[in-house]
Amino acid sequence: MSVDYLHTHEILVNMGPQHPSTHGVLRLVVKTDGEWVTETQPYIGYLHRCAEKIGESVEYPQFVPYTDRLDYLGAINNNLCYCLAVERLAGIEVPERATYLRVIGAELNRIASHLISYGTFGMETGAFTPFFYGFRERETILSIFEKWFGARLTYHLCRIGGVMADITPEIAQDIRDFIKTMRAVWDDYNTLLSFNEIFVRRTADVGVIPPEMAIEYGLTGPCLRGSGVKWDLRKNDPYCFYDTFDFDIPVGEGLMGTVGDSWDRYWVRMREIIESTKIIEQALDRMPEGAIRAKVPKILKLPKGEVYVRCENPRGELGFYLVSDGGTKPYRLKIRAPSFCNLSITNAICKDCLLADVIVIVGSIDIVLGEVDR
Amino acid sequence: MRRPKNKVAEYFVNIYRSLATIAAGMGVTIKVFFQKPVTLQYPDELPVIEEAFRGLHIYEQEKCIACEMCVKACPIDCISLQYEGKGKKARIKSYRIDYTKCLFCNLCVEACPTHCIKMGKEYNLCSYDRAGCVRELAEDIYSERSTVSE
Repeated sequence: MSVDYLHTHEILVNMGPQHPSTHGVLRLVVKTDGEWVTETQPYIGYLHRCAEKIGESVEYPQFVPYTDRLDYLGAINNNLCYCLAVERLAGIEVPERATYLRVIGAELNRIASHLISYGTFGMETGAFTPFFYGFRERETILSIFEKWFGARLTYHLCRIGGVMADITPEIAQDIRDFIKTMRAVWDDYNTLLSFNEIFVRRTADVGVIPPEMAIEYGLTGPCLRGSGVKWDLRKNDPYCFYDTFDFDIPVGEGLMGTVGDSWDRYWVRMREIIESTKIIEQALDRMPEGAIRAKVPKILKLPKGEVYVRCENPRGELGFYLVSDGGTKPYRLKIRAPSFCNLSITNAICKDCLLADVIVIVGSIDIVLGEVDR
Repeated sequence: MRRPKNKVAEYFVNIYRSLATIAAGMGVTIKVFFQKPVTLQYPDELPVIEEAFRGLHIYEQEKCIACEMCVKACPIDCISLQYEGKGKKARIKSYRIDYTKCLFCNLCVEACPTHCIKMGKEYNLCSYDRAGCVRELAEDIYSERSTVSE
């Protein structure tokens, strides 16, 4: 049956900047025809804090706490990437124990970030309960972090040349206990949300990104892997001994619908939680004794040159491009934020879908506005 | 997931699957119902603050040699230090930290050569006005009038 005669005038709807499901201050201008969306244009910049310019006006070690504020859900990964960039340009050798501690911190942080994504994605599809479950386990991670180095959100764990604090056997035991709990409750999570029929029908076949399109738009992280492309910087461009760890890279298989739909992206994140626990366990077993910080001069001057270092952030490829003119401050600092690139696909996949699907699609991309606007 | 091709069959399979998966989810919820709560009733029960917690600073004035290392290490210039003289004879007039700016990054603590500043366990930051967020940590024991006026 044709429904052409039902077409009405298009209406412009402003979703955001302050809307509970826009993950921050994102403004989506949605062109709708009734309930059908014909165009979705994201407007960004409400959380712009000149992070790159601040990076050029403070000294190298002083910018590390600012990187916490880019992607505030995966702060240790940001610290790590910036420290790796500075260390590569300065030629600083990081002690082995410090590297393993960084890996443990980064992977715990990745789990915490995916748990938030799990909770909020459930909320966006109308399920409120998973939110509490996600936050319950995240709280355990935050308690471990608090015991380890004393902060709960803006960690500042990685310092140039090492990490801030060492873990005691007690904290190591806490982490092992957490891994055990996480693996046990992971099945509960899936019973609650992943395989719930209503949730599956809301997310499967919605916002399908074909693999070619994902690569064209420069998507990275779970959004790219959800489309079936096996690309993970931890294996493809290894840093911090990631190539020596034994873990799988989950990719979307189209279990509930088409490859690359919202459910696949969500499922990749859920399976990454389990993969991260494997990495943490191996790192705890292999960690040698020794120093946690290399000797770094108090006034750090980098040689002339430029460096680009990329890391696998919970949301994709985070890159720091540093240009040094030989002084104590970088001449130029450019941040390649994964959320910013992932958001660019919004208009391409939020076409010819229902208004409620826009929320699901934006939720499945899992952006953090602190990183989009920087 | 396999879906039936017949429209009528799909309708009933949908209803069955929805109810079955919701019942399974309720099973998880009921299981938690018999566990101990993990939340704290905050103002009545206070959280245990760990030894390593990075809260409001603790300043030991007698150890301070007014070298300004913490002021230089601060990424956001939230520390202001006023003193007379240098080294062990330094007379600290005021040591103020602006907590509207402070990042709690611990860089000032690591820069201090005499370990006179460290991060404490206090976490109550709020105050009724903006001026209350600027905390004076030094006692002015040398001049007669206090600097904590206004």
